[in-house]
Amino acid sequence: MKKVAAFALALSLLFAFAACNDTERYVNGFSMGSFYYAEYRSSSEQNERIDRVLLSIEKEYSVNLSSSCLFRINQAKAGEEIELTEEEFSLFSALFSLSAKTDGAFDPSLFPLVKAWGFDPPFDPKGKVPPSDSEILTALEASSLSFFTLNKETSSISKSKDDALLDFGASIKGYGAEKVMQAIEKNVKSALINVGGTIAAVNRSYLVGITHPRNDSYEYLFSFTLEQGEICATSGDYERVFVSEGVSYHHIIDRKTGRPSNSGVVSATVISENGLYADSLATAAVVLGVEKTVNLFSELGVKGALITEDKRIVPIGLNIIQIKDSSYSVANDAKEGA
Amino acid sequence: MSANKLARLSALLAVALLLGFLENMLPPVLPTMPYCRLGLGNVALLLALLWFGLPYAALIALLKCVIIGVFSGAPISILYSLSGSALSLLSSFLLLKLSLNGLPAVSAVGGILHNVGQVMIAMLITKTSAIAYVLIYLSVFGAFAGALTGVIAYFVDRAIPSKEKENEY
Amino acid sequence: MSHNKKNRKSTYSLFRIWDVIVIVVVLLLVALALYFTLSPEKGSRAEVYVSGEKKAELVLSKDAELELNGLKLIVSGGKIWVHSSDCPDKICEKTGKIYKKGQTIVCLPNQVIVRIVGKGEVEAIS
Repeated sequence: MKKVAAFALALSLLFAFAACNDTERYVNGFSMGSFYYAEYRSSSEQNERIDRVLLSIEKEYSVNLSSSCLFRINQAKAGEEIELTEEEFSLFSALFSLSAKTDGAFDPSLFPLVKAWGFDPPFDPKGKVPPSDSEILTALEASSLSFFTLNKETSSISKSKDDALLDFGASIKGYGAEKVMQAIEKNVKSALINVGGTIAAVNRSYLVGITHPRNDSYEYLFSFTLEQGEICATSGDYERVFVSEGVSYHHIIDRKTGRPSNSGVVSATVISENGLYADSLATAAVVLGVEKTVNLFSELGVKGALITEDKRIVPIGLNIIQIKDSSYSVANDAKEGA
Repeated sequence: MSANKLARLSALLAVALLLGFLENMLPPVLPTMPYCRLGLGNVALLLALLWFGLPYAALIALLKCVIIGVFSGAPISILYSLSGSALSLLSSFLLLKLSLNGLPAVSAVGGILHNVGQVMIAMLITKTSAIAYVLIYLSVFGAFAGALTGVIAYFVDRAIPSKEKENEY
Repeated sequence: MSHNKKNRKSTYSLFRIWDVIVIVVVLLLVALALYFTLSPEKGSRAEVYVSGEKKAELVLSKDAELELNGLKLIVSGGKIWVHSSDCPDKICEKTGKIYKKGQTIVCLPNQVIVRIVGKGEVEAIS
């Protein structure tokens, strides 16, 4: 009997493999104009918490919802002070200063121009035409961060021009992903959060692929490891596009030309522990082009990769694992000392 | 513990360490699992188990793993080898208790489980299960390596008089 | 200290019949453990969520039709798409056919998400 028990003990050691996994759970939903999805391993339900975080961010920062502070400042007249909560205020400040660092490549005040091009949500490519030169000029005149003043003492914001408008669409998914990560990281063994394509790796690293910018029959163009605690965001000229008279126009507007950017970068992926940065800088990188982006990334301590028009993948401090389309080449890592 | 016994145990540890170090100086058999070797040091561990019983054998195994790990400059290997040795020793002990098998087979099973233990640690560390694939070849390899050390241990056991041994299975 | 050569017979053997059995059993157990760890990869499926709740799961390898919440979904040739819908902007219909892991069709007014899942090479796509 003792011998049998001893043998059984030995066998059961082998089955330690399959055992001890927390349940795999999923949650799905809509927020901030796109879907979100999270898969996580935890002994407890986190779905409600995740839904709550993302929906509350949408309520606070969506340009279309009257509950949002953005809606209020956009509707306000010049000189009106709109009160902000502490969190809203620091978000605004962070975005304003980030915009300065990117030399306007990322600019939340471009909303009038975005609207002139028709890229404001909800976006429908059918029947769209590019705005006339004068329409672009008028919109540009209303698009500047200098029209907005943040007042720290009263924790409020005001603008000096009626038709100046703000939009955080380029940053809010990253912000949302980061907030969800903070909310659940202590309660889950591991989690993958995907907010409209911006991905956060919670408590373990994940293998992530980047959308092929020109050929969607490929599942992805290249892959890399998103380390635990990191958030990656991708912006590309393939996301919101309309075609008019044979010319295609994409949604990332360069304020220097008033038109969709043409820097040679067609897709930018940014990785950072700061979700706001990752998302905003991805947009900026598409506008700035390769060289300026490399400098900017080193300055800000973020990493990522750029895909160029001429089929090159430029990693910046990133290790590319696999490339599925062999017609694309990988440049040497642009980060100094990489 | 008598001085004599301590001396004999130390001799076994010394042999285990020596063989372990010699093995580590050779290039790894499999590039993906660098800590996977032939396991010649296990001859000494098996003999310790045969002659002195599980507790002493476990002690020697522990010391061997720690010392080799520290001196090889990769302390993480301690974790791998401890896990492998633990499973290996335990299974060898149980099989010996059952008295059904010859020494090479006992050692072969020990060899298989040694690799199982190492892969389990690797899975925990890398947090992926994909690494388990490597067990397909490692198990067979471990069985052969174990059989080899078992044969060696058999002949060494024959050569040593029974009054040096304090244990019987 | 005398070494009586005649007494050097070991209490252990070099080979017994049980050896083969035990080793085979152990190898089989390891194989079993591997099987459970590296569970077989599921083929591509489409999961359909309504208002955040999973309502249906369709295997893409089997042709099928599904009507729910004002949408008609069709699975054929390994792809799934929205055939018709009662929503005003029809973006879900315009999305076209999806079939790769991570691809989604979204119908905002009807609160429907169709998503392709299954083991792919990467865990998420940005």
